[in-house]
Amino acid sequence: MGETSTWVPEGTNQDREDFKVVGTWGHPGRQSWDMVSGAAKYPTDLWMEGTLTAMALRCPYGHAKVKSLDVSEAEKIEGVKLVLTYEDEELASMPKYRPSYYEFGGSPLLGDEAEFEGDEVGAVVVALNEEICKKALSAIKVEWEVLPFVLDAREAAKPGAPILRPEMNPDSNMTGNTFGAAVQWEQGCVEDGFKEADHIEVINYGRPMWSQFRPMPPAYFSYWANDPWGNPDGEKMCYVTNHAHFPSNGPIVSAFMGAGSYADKYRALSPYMAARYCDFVEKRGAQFAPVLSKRLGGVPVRYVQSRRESFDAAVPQTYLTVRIGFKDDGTLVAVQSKNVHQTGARGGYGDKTHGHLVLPPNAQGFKQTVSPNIYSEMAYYVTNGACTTADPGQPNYEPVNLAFARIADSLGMDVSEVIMKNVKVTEPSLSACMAAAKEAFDWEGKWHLAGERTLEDGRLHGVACRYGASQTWGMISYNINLRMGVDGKIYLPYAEALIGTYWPDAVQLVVAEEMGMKPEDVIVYYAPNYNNWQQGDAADRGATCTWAAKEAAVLLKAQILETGSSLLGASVDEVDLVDSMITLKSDPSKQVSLVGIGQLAVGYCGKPKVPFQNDVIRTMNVDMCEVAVDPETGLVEIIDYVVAHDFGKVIRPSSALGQIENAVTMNSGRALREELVWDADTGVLLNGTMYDYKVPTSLDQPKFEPVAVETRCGGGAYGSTGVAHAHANPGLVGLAIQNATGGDFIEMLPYTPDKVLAALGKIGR
Amino acid sequence: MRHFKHMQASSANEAASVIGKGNALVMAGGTDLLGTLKDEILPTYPETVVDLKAIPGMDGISEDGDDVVIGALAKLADVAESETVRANCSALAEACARAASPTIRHMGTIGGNVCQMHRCWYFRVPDDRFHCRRKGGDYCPARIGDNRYHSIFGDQDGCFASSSHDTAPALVALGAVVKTTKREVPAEEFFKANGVRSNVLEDGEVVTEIRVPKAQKSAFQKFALRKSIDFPVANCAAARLADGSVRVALGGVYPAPVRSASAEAEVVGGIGESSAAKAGDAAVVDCRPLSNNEYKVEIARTLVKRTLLELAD
Amino acid sequence: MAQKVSRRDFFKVGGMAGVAASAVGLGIGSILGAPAEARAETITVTDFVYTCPLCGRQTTDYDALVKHFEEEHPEAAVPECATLAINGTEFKVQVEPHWTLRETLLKAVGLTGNAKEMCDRGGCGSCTVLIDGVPALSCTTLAVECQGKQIETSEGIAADERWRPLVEAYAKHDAAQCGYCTPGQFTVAKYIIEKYGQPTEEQIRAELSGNICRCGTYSRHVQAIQEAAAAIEGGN
Repeated sequence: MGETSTWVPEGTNQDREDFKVVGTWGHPGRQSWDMVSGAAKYPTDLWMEGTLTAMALRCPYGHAKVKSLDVSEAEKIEGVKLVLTYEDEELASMPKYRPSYYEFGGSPLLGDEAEFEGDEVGAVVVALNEEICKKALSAIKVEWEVLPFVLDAREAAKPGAPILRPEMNPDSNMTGNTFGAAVQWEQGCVEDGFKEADHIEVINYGRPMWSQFRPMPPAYFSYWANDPWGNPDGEKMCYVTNHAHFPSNGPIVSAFMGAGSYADKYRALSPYMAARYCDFVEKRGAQFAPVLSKRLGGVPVRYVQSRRESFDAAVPQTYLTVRIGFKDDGTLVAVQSKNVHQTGARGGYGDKTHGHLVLPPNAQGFKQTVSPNIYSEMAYYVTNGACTTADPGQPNYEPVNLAFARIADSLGMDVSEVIMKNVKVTEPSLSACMAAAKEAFDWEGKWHLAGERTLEDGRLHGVACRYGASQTWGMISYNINLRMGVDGKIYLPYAEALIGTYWPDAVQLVVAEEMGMKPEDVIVYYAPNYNNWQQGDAADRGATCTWAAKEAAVLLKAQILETGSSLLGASVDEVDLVDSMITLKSDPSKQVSLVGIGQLAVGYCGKPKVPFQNDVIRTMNVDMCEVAVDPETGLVEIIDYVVAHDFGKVIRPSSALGQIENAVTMNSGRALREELVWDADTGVLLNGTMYDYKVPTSLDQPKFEPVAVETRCGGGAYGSTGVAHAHANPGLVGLAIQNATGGDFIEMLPYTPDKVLAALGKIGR
Repeated sequence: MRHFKHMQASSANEAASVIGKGNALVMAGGTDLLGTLKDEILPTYPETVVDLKAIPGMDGISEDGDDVVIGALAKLADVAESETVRANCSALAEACARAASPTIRHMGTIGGNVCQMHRCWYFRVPDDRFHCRRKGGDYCPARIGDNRYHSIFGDQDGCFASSSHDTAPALVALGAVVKTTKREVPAEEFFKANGVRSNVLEDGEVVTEIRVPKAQKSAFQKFALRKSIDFPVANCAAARLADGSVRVALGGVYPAPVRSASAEAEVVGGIGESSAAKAGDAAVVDCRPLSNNEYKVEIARTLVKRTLLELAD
Repeated sequence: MAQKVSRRDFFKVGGMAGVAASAVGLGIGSILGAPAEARAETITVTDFVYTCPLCGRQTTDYDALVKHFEEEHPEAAVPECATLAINGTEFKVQVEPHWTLRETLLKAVGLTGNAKEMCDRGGCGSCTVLIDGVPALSCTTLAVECQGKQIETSEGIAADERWRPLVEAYAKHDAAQCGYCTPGQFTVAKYIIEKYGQPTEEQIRAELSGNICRCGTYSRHVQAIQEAAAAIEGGN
């Protein structure tokens, strides 16, 4: 409520105002042409003559164990080249506890226990083609022990629920399915807070499993060939597709540590891997493929996975119960919140496994409010159904915004006022975002109390508003190498696989800006064995690397001017770089080109120093959503959606706004249609097709308007920051629906017609 | 897909005789069949796939007296855009325009759409995970399973799937006739599920033509969660036929399209807000929704009302 | 510009099958932002190796493969030898009767722009090619049925001088984020401009509504197509 963020940015030229390149449009991405024309090769596009196909046995049950396996008939089939089972020594020697944060449970690479229907289990087959693989798989005689399965985290949390992974949690507490003890966080005294409150309300919110939805069904291609760089041990070099959006061979090697390998033995085959937004699900195929190829003398092996099998990665279920106490004037005074969170079949990615969240996510948003009394508890529960990996922090701002909306609804207040009243630090970012959003959305013209407006076509009209903060995570250090070539161009290598959110295009503009180069003379190029990362976390890397690139650019520019100034017979202070030319400041017509000066290079590794994430509330954002609800069919249409996002400073507008478009479109699908559906009796996935799992089409994309706010308060170059999970808040659509119907808030996503009709009292619940 | 022999038929009769004799299937646009082969949905995998696409003269759209005649190989996109169809049986044009996605409409044929198999998600799970009624099994997993998209009018031979062709209710409402290599079947009788098929075709029978009587006016509405690609949650067609009578049919609510005589009775005296609403109520009065699909009753009720209102002058 | 090359050399042509050519697998366009010339040229594969899908035996001509089938696999369906006209060039390749055009583009031809597998069931549009000028799902089209028809892929359209403004507009508007669905969308974009001349937003969205993009780039396609349509009309 009115407090101002105080934080002094550090670094060179953070306060630059004279931008020539940064913030401008019309700079095509380095890989755009290849992606459009189809020249870009994704893992599914890799094929060489003689490529063999590999497929794994898949479990037909919701949870089962292989009691016995007979592969002898499969091995006899003509065209079958290799059948490996979980008893194979090399596969069994591959690490159970992989050194990254994919999973907690130490499940073997190819085990005898399947955690969900469609899970890879027991055996893997390599053959001439897919048909023969299928034939061989159906010839494997399997005796299954069918085990109990649980699909819902709340069921897994119940005392007496089947214990799904006894080996995972030997010190099992009362339910056995908890992944460790609950995470708790407390400030003040909640009991006192509720005593002081004039009103007490309880909010329930549930989210199903959403498919991570990788556009490309993971395909892993690997072969072993001579090493053009000369491998120190004289062994062959393994070429393999990327399996995560990390610099290429670090994680590849981590996956193969069990094979006794080291970094120089592996090369990533393609910088493309299609969208994997916060998808860290273990990619077993990526790890099988090189082993299978090696066993067959290095021939290319392609491990295939169908679309249905690619629904094995999910955003976890989460169930929140939030009890709030507030005063007559709308001030929040007490929060008690419990979060039952799912880890999926093989664990997840969260504070237990990773350590970067020190607060339960359901506390983070509340911690930024004026409420002195907060108690928050979160526990993870193992289930079957699919692997989950997405960050539990994704819905950080969902609970606090549900609370604000409930306060507004109970007291007949405008929710935007409740937000401004209860968020502690509103200046400068939140105020700016709120003002920008209100104007773009026409909030004053559209807002009304719940159930009070009907459109001319008979549909019910509703609006909602929410705030969020751009989390600045524990930032990583970026390792930037900049080199001026004899051709006078600046080169910067990078090695991250492209998953859709991408930093090299922004970095190019920062380097050009800072050095005084034309953007086309700054060449950011893919170098598959380069490592840009040092220790740390992935999030917010877009902003961090622009910062490190800026620092590197300053150093290289100084070197160039030192060498170049003598060519103009001037001192370093008397010259500058302008449009890629060394230029005499006093007489800009006197210029020298960089071509032929020599080769100069700098390396810079570092990160901006920023306060740790949960205390950082510098850059904020505000979303407003307008819906029309058909009261006869329950169909919801998002008719307007405004995002006012404080980017700090927009580096590359096309990328920045593209991220908002991405987030809003994906979020609309998850709010209205997307969920993974299993048969409750068998644990079999029912909607593993693109007809039944409903990703939004071009006609379903909501009308939306991204509004860029620039307060220069971010941690990246020039105060920039990214988007990340900021707009993953489907609950906002639910709040707008509630504003339209005047009925209850729908407690479970997605907001499909059946639930809307029930909220309207048209059908039973 | 597993191997099959590929044969290009030169006439419908040739195709019919091939599929009548052996383990063979016909294929037109292929948009439904190839998916079922990839997922091994069918109880027996065909030795031969007979391609109908190259048969000459089977994709025409023309007028023949009081009828519009559409060759079975006419593409959905062509039917949707045909002036003849739009002028005389616009419900069918609209049904074709709302089917699937634009690219599928360029490939899929009207014959293929009327023969399309059910989209029940239990039936369609690959590798026979559910050996259901449609596949010769003895139970319908949807009956007690997740039946949000299933029948609200009970079962047909133990199956609770819902018909998913967009053209079906339009053809029923318009009183169309499906012509095969053997016979002519009124649309109302054609869509009776039969094993894995969603129609009464017998072995060795191929759809060759659809004859649609010209209507005074007709309309089609579809309810789906997405505006493209989706199969219908429910759809509805209404037509004022040449003799002035009004016919209404619902799709997506039963294993076959459902013509509603009681809804039709409500609008004998004319179509207005009130009679259309009564017709909507009448159309769903016999519904027996399953555990997860009561909402479809409201959608069906609304579709009948709104589609009829499109016929009002 | 057509050329005849062996399949081995074909793989070495810049970026066409980067795996065999180099570990990097990136074309010039990736480094410079926009290539000096498009790299998707029309190529005839002259020495296709015929591989028995059942036992892996390789033969150098189709007749030998047929003979091999008669001797070794008398019961099985013999692969066919199809001539496919792709981007104006005829490719004579081995296809099996059940091979889709998508599989054929990947395995026999090496043009993977529209061989993208997202769903492989017709529900996503990422594998859309143009057949005789009309969008078709290559995952749901049998290769043997494409003989005698003109197939166009994203590579061919991008290499065509006339469509240069469309590629440029796509690159300029960041119509690709992860890029996986983009060649399919781009192929439909060409159809849209040919069909409508100066398409409206409604027309573009309707025609692209079978092409799924998880990154939500749809509005960028609208901008790129409208800008390219104006440039193409202005240029002609």
